[in-house]
Amino acid sequence: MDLEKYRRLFVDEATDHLVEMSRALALLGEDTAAEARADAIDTLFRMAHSIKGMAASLDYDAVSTLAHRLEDWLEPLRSGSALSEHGLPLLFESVRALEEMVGIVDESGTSPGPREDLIARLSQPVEQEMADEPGAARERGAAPVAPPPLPRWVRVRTKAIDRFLAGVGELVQRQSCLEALHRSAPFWEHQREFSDELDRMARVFRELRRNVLDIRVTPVRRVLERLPRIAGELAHQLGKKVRVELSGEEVEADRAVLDRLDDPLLHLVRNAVDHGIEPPEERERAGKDPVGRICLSASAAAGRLRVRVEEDGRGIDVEAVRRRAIERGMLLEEVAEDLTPERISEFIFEPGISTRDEVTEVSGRGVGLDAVKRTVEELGGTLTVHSEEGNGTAFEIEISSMAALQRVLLLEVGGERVALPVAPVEAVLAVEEGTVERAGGEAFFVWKDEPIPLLDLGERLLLPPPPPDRAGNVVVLEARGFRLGLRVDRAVSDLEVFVREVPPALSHIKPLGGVAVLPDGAPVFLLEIGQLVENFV
Amino acid sequence: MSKRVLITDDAAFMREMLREILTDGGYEIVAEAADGDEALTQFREHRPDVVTLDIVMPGKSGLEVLSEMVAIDPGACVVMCSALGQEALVMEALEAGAKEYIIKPFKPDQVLGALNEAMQKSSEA
Repeated sequence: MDLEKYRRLFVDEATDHLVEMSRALALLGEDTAAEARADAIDTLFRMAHSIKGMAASLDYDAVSTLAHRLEDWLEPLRSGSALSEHGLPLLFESVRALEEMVGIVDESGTSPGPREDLIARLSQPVEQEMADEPGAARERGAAPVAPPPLPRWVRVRTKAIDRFLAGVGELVQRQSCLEALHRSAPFWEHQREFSDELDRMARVFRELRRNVLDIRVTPVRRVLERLPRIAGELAHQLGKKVRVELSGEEVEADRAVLDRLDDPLLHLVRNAVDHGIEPPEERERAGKDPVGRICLSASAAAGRLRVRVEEDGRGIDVEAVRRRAIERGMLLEEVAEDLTPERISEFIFEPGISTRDEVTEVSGRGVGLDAVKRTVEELGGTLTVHSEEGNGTAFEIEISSMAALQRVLLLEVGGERVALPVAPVEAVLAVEEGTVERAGGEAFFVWKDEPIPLLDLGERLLLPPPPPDRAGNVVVLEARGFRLGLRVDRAVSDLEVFVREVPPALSHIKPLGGVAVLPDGAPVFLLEIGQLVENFV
Repeated sequence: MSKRVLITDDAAFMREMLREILTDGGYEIVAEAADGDEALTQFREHRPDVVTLDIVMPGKSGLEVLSEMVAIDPGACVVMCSALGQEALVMEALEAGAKEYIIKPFKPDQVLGALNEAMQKSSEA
């Protein structure tokens, strides 16, 4: 038996099942019609049953036992028993535990450990669970919600793979053409053909690159689907009622972009439940439906992906934000008077501005809207907010749906930071001024018995000259077929960033290959090595 | 000539597992179905020698599909696939005309044994 194949199938199907279970749970958390509730219970039962069967086949005992107990626990509900308030958190926890277990199988391929606590609670009949101390159940249910990470694999449309393979086929063909040319006669007699062939090859490579990016395209469903359940679970803990509506789940974007949006979206949804939606009584007093509404919608246009998290809650208390910003010294009182409510609202993205005075368990997790905004900006996107006091708040993430994720080396030179694509870098060395040899206007140093020409990056970028006896780093890299050393003050670190195009106003500056936002929020220019070393090598 | 099987299960995992066990056991898989309606369509089209039928499925349940198959062909040879804890359903299925049953998780010997048994009963009938 090909274990790996069955493990894949298991993770694949169980993940789908868990998504369905989440949907069903979200339904149960709302005031749904009896018929829809019965369907939801039935779905939960069937999915647990199916997971049990698969897990048992693979000897994942902890998974099959938990699924089996869950199935048994659901049985009386199927035949009409009512689900108690306290049964819901247990269901939420069980589904989350199954998610974690499937995550373990996916990540490590090992059999997950048992969850005795849940098994014990599921072994009590539904009635007994109902008779439990209400406080106790709530306390258990209120453990911080930490959903497992998204699986690191993705389903690919066969068409995308076919296109990719066609590209590879063409590449092989180009290669044999080149080889034939090479065999037939000396290179110089065929320069023209060679260069034509290279042009064709470049085209094939461009297509291949696009095809590979296509493979990574996946529906936004990937990140939206589990949010209703998370919202439902949190609402339940906080004694609130919410209904979550999804739209545009079929909109597609780069998987890498979506995976990075997972955390920000999770936070925005929690924020919506925790800070946005009011308790049912308060909503009723304000003449609203006691069930709060959260809409998650995705849309795409012109290569940009928009994801909106909108709720009909209390809206941002602009006055409170204004006061807080003044108190914290972020805003002068005189200036604050003149700012529009929209502009004031944006202060909620500043660290330390909480819109509510009491720190709830959920919001007190050390992650604020400032972190959400920073993450989105690191991805080259924007996060905006629109709020109407009393009527709700909408957050909107806008981001390129095909982001270019690039590994770069961060450098310090002349008091500035710049980044360099990491691919051509061979080594980073510490070089003392004394080891640098000069011949005329040119500087060299010896590395692996080879004289390496040195290019002073600060000088090249017209930055103020460094002190004469500085020590620093040399980045050894290959550019245009030559090896050279780039002299910098310090090579800081390498990291992965989302590179954006250079803004039009700066696009005439050739050595700039792009702009990225660093984790600390500062922008950094990415250097284009080919242009940088022009006239040098 | 190898016996022709129709596999019915909503989980691709289970279908794949049965396919592997049955192919190794010398059966020919004529079709796979992921739900009851598909199973009935395939049943009408292929008239397989034997059908494996999952009891718990979305839409039409295994029992419903079973009785429709028996209505189409009173000699239909159907083996129910179930899991522990579904004894009542299995009993009901056997009364409704199923020839045998298999308990998940599938063990090759058990699966092949059950199918053999079922076809024997079918030919005796």
